[in-house]
Amino acid sequence: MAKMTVKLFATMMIYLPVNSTKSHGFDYQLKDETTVGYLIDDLKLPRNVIHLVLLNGIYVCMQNFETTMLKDGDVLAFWPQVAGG
Amino acid sequence: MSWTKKVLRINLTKGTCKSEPLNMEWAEQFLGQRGLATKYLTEEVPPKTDPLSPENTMYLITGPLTGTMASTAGRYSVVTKSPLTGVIACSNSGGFFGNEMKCAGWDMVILEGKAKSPVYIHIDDDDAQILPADEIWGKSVWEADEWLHAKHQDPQLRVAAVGVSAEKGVLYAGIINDLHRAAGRSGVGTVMASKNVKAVTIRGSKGVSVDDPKAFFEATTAAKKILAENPVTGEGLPALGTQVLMNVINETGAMPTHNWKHSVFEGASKISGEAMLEARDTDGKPNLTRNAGCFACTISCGRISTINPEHFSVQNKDDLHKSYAGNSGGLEYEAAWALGSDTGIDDLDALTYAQFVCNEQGIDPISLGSTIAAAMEMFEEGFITTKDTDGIDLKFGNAEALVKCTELVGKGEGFGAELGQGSAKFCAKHGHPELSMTVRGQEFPAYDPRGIQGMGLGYATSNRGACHLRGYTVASEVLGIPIKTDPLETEGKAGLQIAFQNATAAFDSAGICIFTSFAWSLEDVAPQLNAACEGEWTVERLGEIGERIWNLERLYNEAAGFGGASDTLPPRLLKEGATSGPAEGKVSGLATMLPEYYAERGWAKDGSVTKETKARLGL
Repeated sequence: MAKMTVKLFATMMIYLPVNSTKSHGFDYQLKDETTVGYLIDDLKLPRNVIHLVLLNGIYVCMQNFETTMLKDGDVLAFWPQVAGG
Repeated sequence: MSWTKKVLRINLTKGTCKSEPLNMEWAEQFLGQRGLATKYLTEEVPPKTDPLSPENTMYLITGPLTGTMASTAGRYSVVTKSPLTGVIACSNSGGFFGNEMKCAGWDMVILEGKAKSPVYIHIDDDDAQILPADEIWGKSVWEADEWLHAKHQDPQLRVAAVGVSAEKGVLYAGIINDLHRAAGRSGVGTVMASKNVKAVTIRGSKGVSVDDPKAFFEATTAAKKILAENPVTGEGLPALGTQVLMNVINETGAMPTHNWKHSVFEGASKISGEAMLEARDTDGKPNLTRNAGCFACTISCGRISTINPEHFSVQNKDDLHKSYAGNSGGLEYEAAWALGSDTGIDDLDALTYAQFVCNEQGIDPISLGSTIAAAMEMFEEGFITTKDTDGIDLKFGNAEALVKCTELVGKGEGFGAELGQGSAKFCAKHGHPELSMTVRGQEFPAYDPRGIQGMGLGYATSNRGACHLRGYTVASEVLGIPIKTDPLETEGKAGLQIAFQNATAAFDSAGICIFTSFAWSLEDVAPQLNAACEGEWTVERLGEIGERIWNLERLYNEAAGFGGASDTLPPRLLKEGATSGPAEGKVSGLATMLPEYYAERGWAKDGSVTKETKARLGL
């Protein structure tokens, strides 16, 4: 069955499942036609906190959440609004 | 008001301390801090001056908001000519030193000439003295700090000092105040030590006045509310500090790794801000103890951390290193990537230790880590051997080698003295200048411009050599502040970089921290300045001041011999594509962006500032 990795960083770490094994992330089983938007709702991630979403390192803007399809082996990472330097 | 309108000029050769009025005509044009000191430098220090000669002068300077109740208003800058780069040096620090200078009644302290023997400057409000420092010459910043506090029997004395690295001529030695805040880059500490000055101590009891107290209270309160409600300055930075970026930049594929051969580091998550929160196996404590704030700061991004007590770096240390057992300042992102991913080391405790040593001995961890990483590549390629490295097995990923090299640079001894010359000189000496990841002799910060295109243009044009604090387009290109742009695109980056560079120069001249700019624009700064200072301080005026400062810095560098020809990047970034991640196969598009940048700046095609632009800005 197809699976991918979800990573939650910074203050979104509180939404990590207790058994997450990868570094700040966990495996996610893909269903048919899973979009970024579906995954967000499935994991009950708060949309108002999500600011930066990178799919295999590429930025996914909020308008494309419902149309961006996920596939086997993808890495999807989430951050709230962050900055540093 | 807000400026004290007084300057303390100390001539170390003659042994005199004199008060003089601040040049208010220049303050009107350059505001304060970075801008105003740049004006003084360009008027007083000829561009070809040898940076380590008595003819070089140092300006320790505050901004008009320094010492006030504006958020983050504890900043001061050190401006001088850099021994690392040969161009202008301007290093900015927080902590509690800048506000103390202001409260003692001084906008600026100028150090000129050279003392005959080691001294320190002691300032107690109006009274300034040059006192002998023989007893602390050869001691670390932390030892000097302890000695000075004991000598003056004043726990609230503020101390800015140099470590042994500066005394021994390490070219990227900084000035450390309050034990672990640093005017870190470009070797400003090396210049101070070259004048035989070990420290500046200040005690101020006067307070700072503002022009319109009621308007100032309202403006600063409104601005603090913006910081508190912003997710970055109100939540992210206090919780994770600058280190929140480690995973972001790595996932973006712009994490400099193995001396910039790669741009994704496998061990990034182990040395990230998130990892600093995780409990260790040994004592059950996380690396991070708490966050910390500088004077008047309502963000508090600083990190106070401990090293795993069982880690090899803190075993068998003598009394000199007793401070390593407790809490100290670190780990910050810029230290973590340079000492960590660039050297291939994913040992959080080793990096924390190395950062502590950088604070203790006054070393810029960016230049240190980058120079070690360049040496590691040379070692792995066989260009240098253990005969050159004092027997150190200088392979990528060797944490013990990092610890040893850091200690040697801290003392300026043996192989450490050679590493202390910076990667440009080190790589050139061993026949491979192309392996030095520098612009105008200064080592890069933490963002690979093949994956964040705007930063390549920023590094190439930065007036103090490669730097992230001159135009931080990462905010827009990666983090979406204030708007998201595509990091892999070159289009529009010239204008973006110029906007960031000009605004940053204005922030840096006001007396506040650049981190406020994650939530504030100049529209939030202008009302605070307008209430604090006499005269009209509008957004437009601040934008123009920023542009004027940028051009003045550029003119000084041009005259010093670093014009358009030095606006370039190392061949690795221009010719070798990124090896993995979203930027795979991409190189920096500098050649496309640079002509656009010159045109938008109003400069000639060779990058020189035109007469028209000078006239427009009153230069």
